[in-house]
Amino acid sequence: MSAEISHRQRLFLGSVSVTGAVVLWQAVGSFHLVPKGLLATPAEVVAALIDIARHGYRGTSLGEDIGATLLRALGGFAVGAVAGIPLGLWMGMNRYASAGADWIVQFLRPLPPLSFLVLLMLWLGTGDTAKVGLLALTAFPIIASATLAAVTQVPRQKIQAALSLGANRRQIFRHVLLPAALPQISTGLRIALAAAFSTVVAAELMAGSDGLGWMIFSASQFLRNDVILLGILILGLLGMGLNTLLLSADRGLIHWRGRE
Amino acid sequence: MPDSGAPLSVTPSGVTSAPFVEFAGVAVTYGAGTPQAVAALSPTDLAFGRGEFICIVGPSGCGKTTLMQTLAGFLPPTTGMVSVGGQAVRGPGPERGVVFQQAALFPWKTVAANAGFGPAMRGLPRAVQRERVEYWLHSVGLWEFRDRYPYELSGGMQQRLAIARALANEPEILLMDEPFGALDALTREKMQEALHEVWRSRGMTVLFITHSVDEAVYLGTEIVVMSQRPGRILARIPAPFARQSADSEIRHVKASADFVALREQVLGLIWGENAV
Repeated sequence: MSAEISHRQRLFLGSVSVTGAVVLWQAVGSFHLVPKGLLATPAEVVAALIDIARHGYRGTSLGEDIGATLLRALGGFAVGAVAGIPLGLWMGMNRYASAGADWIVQFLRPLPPLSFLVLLMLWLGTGDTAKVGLLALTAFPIIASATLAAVTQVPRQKIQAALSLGANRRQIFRHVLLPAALPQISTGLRIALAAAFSTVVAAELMAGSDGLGWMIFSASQFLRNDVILLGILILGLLGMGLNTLLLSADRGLIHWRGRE
Repeated sequence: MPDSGAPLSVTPSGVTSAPFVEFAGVAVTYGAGTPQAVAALSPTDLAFGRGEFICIVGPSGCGKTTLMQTLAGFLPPTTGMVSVGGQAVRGPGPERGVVFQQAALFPWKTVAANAGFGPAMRGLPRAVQRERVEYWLHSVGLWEFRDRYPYELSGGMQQRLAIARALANEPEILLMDEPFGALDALTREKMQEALHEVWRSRGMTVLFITHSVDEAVYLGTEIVVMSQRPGRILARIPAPFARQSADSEIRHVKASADFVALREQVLGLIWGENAV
């Protein structure tokens, strides 16, 4: 294990590499290392940001595009969690439930979610329902199997200790099983949110009239690679932000993670 | 103040009158009925009275833990029956407290909430819950850590908390499976002394599993020596020190000629069996 580095060091090193990347990127454009039109420079991307922030892009404002993408990702994620956590818990506690649902979850998990998209659009239309449904299908098997694994790995002695202290099944679930499984469930949630987020963009690329994915797709048809790069930057930052949000919630709530 | 239980009926041999805990022909086979079946415990008969401190010693994998788990209600015997006070054991219950080798605490709860877990789950009045937590955390020297979390405690403190948690529920029987096995020698001896104190003052029945013959001879009113797997009882040896050593120092007791002689006798039984 390498020694811990301080918060200040982390900030410094992170800024150095980001600055380096931006400088390199600008240099590639300024010195015409790439044919013009293939790579917008940082300055052009900033200009595009200012323009789109003011006037929107092809009829939708930047806020609407970001909001549409976020809402779809979070909506699908929430549906996946609401279905996946209880199923995972049930599978973890009941071997019949586990045997019954296992194949379906294991079948869904490795499937590329986009392979469902066409079917979902046929059934649910090209609107948000199909996209949210797709993201729910993306998040659900990840969350269900993480929750199942979490419950399976709860140390048996903790349950036995609670039983011999007089706890009933409901109390054991509430006071032992759930908190013991929480760290791993939370990890599963973060993985699922990342998956939902990357899928929403792909879904918007294929169909839609708003959202960051749509913005990127539409820009590519007009060879506006400043807008494409802007869309990618915003997506990356949003993804980072969401992950940081979940991570700090995890650190705040699950103080016992990794500590016995 | 928690109720101190029935007075001990002490006899010179260390055996009390009516059997309180009874193993009748208890045998355990893991995977019974399959080709991989493993006999863990040969049919075993063992009975002892209220207030006894029974120490089970024997080689690793001899079925000591298996025997205890049948009394805890974690493991149904393949054949035979375990009973407490004439009632068959059908599962875990709060009248049988358990302390494991690993403390098995709840790291999401504070030290106080861990100690008060049993009374809280059983819905005892709040005042009683508070009183018991306070009493037992004081007894094990953890009162000032009541608002901390278990992972902030050392290994010895965690084990003391596990014992306090079991005792705060005021079980009739305390089952301890190598509770001091993971502790360093000094902490271990202090814990032995502390447990001895508690047992003397409370008079509960204890079934104590250990690898340490020294520990068994010091703590037990009776030592049960088990054979290698599939375990069976080789000998039951009454031990006088638990009831004698009212104010004696643990070091003095363990250095006395009588203590050494009994320890050697028990060791001889274990070694003799393993040599065969």
